[in-house]
Amino acid sequence: MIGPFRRTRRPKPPELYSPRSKPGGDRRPVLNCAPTRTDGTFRRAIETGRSRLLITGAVMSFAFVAVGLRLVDLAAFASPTATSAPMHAETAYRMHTDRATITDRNGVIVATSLTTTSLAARPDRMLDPVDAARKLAQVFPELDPAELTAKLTSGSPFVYIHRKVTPKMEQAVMELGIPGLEFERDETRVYPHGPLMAHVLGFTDVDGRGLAGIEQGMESVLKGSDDPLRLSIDVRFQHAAHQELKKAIDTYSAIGGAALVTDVRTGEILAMVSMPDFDPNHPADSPAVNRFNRATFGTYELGSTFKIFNTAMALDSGVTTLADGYDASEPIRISRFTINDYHAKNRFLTVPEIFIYSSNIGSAKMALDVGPPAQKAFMERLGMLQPIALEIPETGRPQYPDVWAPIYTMTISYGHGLSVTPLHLAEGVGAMLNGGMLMPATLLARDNVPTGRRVVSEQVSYDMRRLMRLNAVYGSGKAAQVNGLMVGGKTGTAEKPGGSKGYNRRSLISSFVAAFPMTDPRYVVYVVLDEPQGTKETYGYATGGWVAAPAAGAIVERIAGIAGIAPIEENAPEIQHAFAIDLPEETKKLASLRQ
Amino acid sequence: MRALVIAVWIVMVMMTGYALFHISFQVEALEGQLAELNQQIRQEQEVIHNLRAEWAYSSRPDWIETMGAEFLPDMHGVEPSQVLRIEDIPFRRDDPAVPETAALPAPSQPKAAEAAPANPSAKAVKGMATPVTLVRTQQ
Repeated sequence: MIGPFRRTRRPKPPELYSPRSKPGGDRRPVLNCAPTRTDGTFRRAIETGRSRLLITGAVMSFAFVAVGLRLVDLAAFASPTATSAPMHAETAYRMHTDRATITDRNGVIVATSLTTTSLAARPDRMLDPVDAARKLAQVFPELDPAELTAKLTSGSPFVYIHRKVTPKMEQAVMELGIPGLEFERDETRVYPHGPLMAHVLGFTDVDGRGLAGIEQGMESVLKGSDDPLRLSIDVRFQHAAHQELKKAIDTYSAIGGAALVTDVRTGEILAMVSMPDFDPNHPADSPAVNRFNRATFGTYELGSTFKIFNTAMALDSGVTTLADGYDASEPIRISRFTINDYHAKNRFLTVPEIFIYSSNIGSAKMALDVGPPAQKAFMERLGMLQPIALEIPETGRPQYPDVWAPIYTMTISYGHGLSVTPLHLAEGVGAMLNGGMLMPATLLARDNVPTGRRVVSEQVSYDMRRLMRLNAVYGSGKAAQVNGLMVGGKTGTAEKPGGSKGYNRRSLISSFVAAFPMTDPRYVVYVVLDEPQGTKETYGYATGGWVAAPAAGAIVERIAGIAGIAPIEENAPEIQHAFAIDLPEETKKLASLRQ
Repeated sequence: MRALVIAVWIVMVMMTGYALFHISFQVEALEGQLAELNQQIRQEQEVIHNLRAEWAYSSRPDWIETMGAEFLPDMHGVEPSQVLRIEDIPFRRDDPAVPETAALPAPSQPKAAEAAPANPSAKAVKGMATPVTLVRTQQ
């Protein structure tokens, strides 16, 4: 394009002679330009015309180039529809919810967010709020027209009319054709299992903020991720514990109760039930008292189950052995208190006998031998004096005496004077059985098992397995026996504070802690009943061995089947030998003993 | 010669232009398709999400238990004696004279024997009610 201009800009000088004229011929001058007088003016005009043409051409071609470039740009590089990143295949779409899903250890969904529609109104854009309220109340029969009118005429610029509108209702509202109504997409938290895991999960408010349980304790994790949060709970275990605990509470008219299943090797909580419970889908439908978590928040004097810790402490400190014993023939009188035995034998008892008869006198003497400071240090090491650092906010702070006087040493030996949560006890019993390591309890699935903290020696842990097994065979835990599972256990029956003598003989905390298989313990099952009442079948007794042990046994049987625990030949000579503890003949013959 | 060169250039420019626009439109069409597919995937994922919640709801243990009691009255929970460790199962013997069942360990045998005659209605669910459940244990 530039060439022709160049050529015209520098025209050849006009030829004076025709090139066709032959040399030596007629040399007439060729007049092919203006006369010399006007030549300058003419040339100037042409030059002006050319430069104008040039400028116009340049502007035009610049414009065309710009348009062309833009066309190429639009066509090849930036399609106007390709505005967002998800258009491209490499960003595979992942569904996003405001709160992550919660699953159990096997991936079963226990809490998730579903998209729902809410109906909201902007009253200032409404033509006739009163009429609108009347019409809306026809679509939503549960709304009170007067209340709705008040809402719409309150002067507030934005009000919610109904949350969780079904598509059918949405259509009906659309058909009303009321201006100023808006549908909003939002999320609703759904708990498919209903009340099953109420106290584990907690619940959220309408705006999706966690108000209890994991929902509150793990708020930031749930908000910050799309990956499901995997709990340590196994829904099947939870169901077994839930059902058996409910059965026991109904049978013995207890005011409440708790059940826990923990893994002694990892510290994971596989089931955690507190009763009475609530439906986290509709938390407001149950009385507020139902939200009280008896398994991890309520602290109780848990009674004789503490003799597990007391015996382990005495054996671990070396002040006594399984072959030693204490004189339990006389009640202990200290200041104004008397320590009695429930199943008084009034004789010298060996350490295993103290354990299976649940002798308070023997336990108190054992604890005194260890001494108050060592006992306090042991309880501290076992985590019995601090709240458990769990993933839910409902963790109870243990109550213990400020001054650890000898009288408290004696009462704490059999589980009075120190209030802990049922979870403290289950965690502690796990440590007694797994070889002596305290595994911090958790509600989240644990892939990497921490090493834990040593609380008793491996030998003591082995002795405790034998003692708990012995108690389940000869002692108070017979009702929790399941053939082939080598269940071991210990009962606990504590009187609740209150009444004339400081304790109320009628209101009991009856519990049973079981563990199995005792050859290599896997699970601890703990059942606590709050104020159970005896029935005709239990001869009026409401002690741990009568009311809690059968429930614990039922849970053990059910979860063993689920977990696939292979049965053990209990009468095999090597098992008999490994668990043999010498007992006086009288003890072996004892028919029934349940406390 | 010059005219030919110019002609070639023009043809090439036209071809390139055509190719450019053709590809561009193709890409645009594909992108539209992609957006549609992504939209579909989004919807499907939402449906799957809802169905998962639905599944969790329909497979909750108490409901399965209720249904089981109604439709499978002869089934019951696994008893400890029904569980074997995988190591406890002996290898199959090659001797054809030995019946295969003889290879099963003794404890399960009486169980199977007494279950069969005592519960004739179990025949209805014969295929499902295996007397010995083999579960790989975690020991």
